[in-house]
Amino acid sequence: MRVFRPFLLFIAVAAVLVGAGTMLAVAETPAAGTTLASAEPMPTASASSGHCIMPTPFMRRNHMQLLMHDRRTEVHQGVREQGHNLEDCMNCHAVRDEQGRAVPITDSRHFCNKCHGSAAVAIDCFSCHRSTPESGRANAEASR
Amino acid sequence: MNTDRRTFLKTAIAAGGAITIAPGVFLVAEAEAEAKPAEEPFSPKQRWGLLIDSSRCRAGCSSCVEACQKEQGWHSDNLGAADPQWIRKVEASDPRTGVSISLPVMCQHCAHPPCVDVCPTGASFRRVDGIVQVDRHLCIGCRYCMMACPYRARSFVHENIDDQRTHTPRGKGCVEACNLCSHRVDTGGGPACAEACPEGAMTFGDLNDPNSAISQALHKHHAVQLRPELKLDNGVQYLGI
Repeated sequence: MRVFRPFLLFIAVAAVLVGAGTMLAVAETPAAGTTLASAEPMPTASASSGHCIMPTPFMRRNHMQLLMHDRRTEVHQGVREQGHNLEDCMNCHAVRDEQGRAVPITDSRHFCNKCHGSAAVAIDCFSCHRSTPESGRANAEASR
Repeated sequence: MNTDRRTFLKTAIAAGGAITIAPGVFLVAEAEAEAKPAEEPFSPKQRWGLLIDSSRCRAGCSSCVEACQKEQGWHSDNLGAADPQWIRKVEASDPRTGVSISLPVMCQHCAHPPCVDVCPTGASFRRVDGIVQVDRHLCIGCRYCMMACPYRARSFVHENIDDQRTHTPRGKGCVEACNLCSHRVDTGGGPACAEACPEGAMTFGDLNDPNSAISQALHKHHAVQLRPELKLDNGVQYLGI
């Protein structure tokens, strides 16, 4: 038993180092997809209300269908249903930078980029839609 | 004496202001009463329109254009004729008499819009309540509609945009034009230009409602449509031209 103690110690130290390295990699390249942890990005939950309009597993699989459906009914038929639009998504899921300003879609920290960057799926929404809460723009302009 | 005079003037101005804004207040209240619930679709019973009194429109004033820019979030990109332009002021004069008029021109919200006829994707469409607009989800930027519009009401976005208003998505590669502030209309308001006009020269309302201010004005005065020979049945009509 005494013979194996240094070996066990070596194994333990190696495990700690590997774990730390993995965490470092996740912190540095959140969307790189190089580790198992970063392949399953965990977007921040709603900051303002604490919960989304639907459970997270549902939203992960179906948010695109909700957006697609609402854009037809809203633009062509005028059904402006509260709580089911991109504006509310952006208001709740805004990610703030060090200055407290909401980061735009061009920033890798943006909520949508957490998964879309990892999965390498381009989003067209923000070529027209605003990717930050509009009050955030007012704050940014005021702080300039 | 001065104080009395000042008080009198203040009172008179306040009273005058109340009279001046009274039609607008009435109009907004009426529109609120007729506004559809947010979760219901548009009603074909309504047809939104705009009546512009060019005799009250001042040359050199661009309050309507500025209000539109602020509300919809568009501005000049220093591209000259290729700049975004949802509404513009036009000064026209008769060379024989020298009489000149000033009027704002924007999408005329035709009942038979040529832009919708030529659109290959269905992006350019007419809502059942009369508002003609572009669905940017479907627009491919071919600009056929810009060529087809007899009023040069549409413009194309040539530059990347990242400061859109939340209620007005805009992006490079799409055509855009006045949508009568549909986001405001759908929640019981009216277009920003009509609200901002300091002369109250723009009246917004339901052309199908005989009791609306715009319908009553149209019954009382002879309004004209731009390019009437095209028989497009415009939702935007003019007095004094």
